[in-house]
Amino acid sequence: MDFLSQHVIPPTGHYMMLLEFLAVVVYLVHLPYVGAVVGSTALSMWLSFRDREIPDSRYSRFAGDLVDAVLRNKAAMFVLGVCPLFVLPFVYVEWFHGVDASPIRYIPLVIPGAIVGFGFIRLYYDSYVERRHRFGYHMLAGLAGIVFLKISYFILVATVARLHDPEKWFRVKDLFVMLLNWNAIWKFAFLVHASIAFTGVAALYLFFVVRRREMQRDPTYSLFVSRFSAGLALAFTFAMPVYYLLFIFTTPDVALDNVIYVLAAVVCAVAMLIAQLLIAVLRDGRPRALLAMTLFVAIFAISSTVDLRAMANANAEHFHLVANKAATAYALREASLEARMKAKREGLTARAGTITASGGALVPVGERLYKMKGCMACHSIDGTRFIGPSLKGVFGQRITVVTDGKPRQITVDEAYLRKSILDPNADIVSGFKPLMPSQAGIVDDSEISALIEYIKSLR
Amino acid sequence: MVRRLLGTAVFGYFALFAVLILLLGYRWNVHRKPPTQPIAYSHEIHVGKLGLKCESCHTSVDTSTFAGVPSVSRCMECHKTVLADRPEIKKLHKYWTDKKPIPWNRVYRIRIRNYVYFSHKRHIKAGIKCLQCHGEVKAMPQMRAVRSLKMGWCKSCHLAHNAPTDCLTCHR
Repeated sequence: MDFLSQHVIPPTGHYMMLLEFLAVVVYLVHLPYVGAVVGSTALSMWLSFRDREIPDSRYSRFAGDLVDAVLRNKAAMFVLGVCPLFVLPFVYVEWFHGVDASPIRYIPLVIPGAIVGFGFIRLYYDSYVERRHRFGYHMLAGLAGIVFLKISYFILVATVARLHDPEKWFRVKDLFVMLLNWNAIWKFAFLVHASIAFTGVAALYLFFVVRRREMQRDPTYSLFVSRFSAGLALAFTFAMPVYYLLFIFTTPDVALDNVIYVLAAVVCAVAMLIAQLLIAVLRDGRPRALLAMTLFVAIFAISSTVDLRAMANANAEHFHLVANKAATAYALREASLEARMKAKREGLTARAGTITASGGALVPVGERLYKMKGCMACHSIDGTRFIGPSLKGVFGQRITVVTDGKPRQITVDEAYLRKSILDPNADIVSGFKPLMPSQAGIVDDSEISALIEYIKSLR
Repeated sequence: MVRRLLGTAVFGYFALFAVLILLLGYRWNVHRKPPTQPIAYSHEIHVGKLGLKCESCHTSVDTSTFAGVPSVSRCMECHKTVLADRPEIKKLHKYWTDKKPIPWNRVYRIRIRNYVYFSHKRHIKAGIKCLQCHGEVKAMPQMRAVRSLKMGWCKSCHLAHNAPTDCLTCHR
């Protein structure tokens, strides 16, 4: 996704944390909705099929109500289903800025697949009323929708799972190799089961909170709906911890930390609460929808956090390097911005980009580099002699340096400082050892200029 | 009574998985997480900020099977004076005055078992760069193993570089 890299800025450390929060929110809004769409499509297909074989008014009524409750709203499908898909590629490109072997290049595939899937779901909804006459077409539309959505989300889950395992990225030469990954398979299985369980809970919520009045009018039907939904959700809640254990087991060591294990155990505990709640619903028919929904949302939130944490752990060094580069880039950008504003204030006309930072504006950047690049370990700024000479007042001073074994007198100027940073052992200040490593590749020319401005300021 | 039994069964089922996950966590904690070291040496500062090269401290990497860890005297070359008031450097000074080597905890050898023969010299001579196996050391505040060092991983690289994959190559 190199074309996207040009449009995003490398994130600083704080920005990366903000992105993590954003990703959790996006997943939390998006994944349950897609789960509910797929689950209710599948469930209504099965109920219609059963009703066609052995007519049962409850089944057909429930199927119709479910389709109406979940699939009718086009705005919801667009906002909750389609829009978040555009956010995710940008978020991942920010994190993996500058990494060209990462699997994130497969993420954009999800967008067209999901849109086509939602399109087929709309066809399924629209053909619901005439399903008795066009049964095959109706079922095919639903099936196509489910297949497209499931394949797209498998690609998404597999990509995200691969991000935990950088040592295997070089093997991902095509999409199929990327998908064949136990971690991805267990994660996807978890997502599918959680989605079907969530469909049951969403049904409880939509029927008994949103459409409360309607349910109150018909106690027999209401009992059927609450028991059916709870039973469906319960069956799949039991499967959830199995897949959680398996996907934790297949996550590489480099991605794990203690917090992830604790959160996974917490998910098992929350799943237990949901199971007990659903058993109570089955027993007495009282829906308890709000509580069930809250607990499910908690499970999705914790799972997203676990996933993103694992990704951050596995790629800690890369994120660190990007944040450092971003920090210096921002500092230089701000300094240049300040210089431009200063020039404007002083009445000079400035064309964008022609004035670069110089002089005093670079001093704070230089000070930052002095600390960040480790100069402060060997060169003091207060006159104390460390392993290297102190930088206090050094600019403009007359000193003795040893060049090729021969001592000579020079005045410290910009050229000397620049050379000493890039090739320190060429002119050693007399009385010091040739211990300084070359900083070529560690600081670039604009950073050296900033350092020189800082050294100039140390009177 | 059935109600009680059902409740207990449900609790037991989920508790079992929670316990299994926590046991996995314990195993990770003891065997797999980056070990704490006697001195909090940071490669990020020394390699990342100061720009020291790998072979300036791990000197026997191209002449021996093991890469070697620097002696205390190498650290003291700078740290006799540099930041001598810091608590971690004071620990270093203590090892120097006691004439004892620093008891570093192994990070990589524990993953390759003792019955596996691995020679750094051969791999350096083949042109493998340090960061291909050890990752971006210059961004690590604490050293950790970023590759699984499983046989499958070694083998994949051997196959890609036409290196021998015969059993006796490594299982000597």
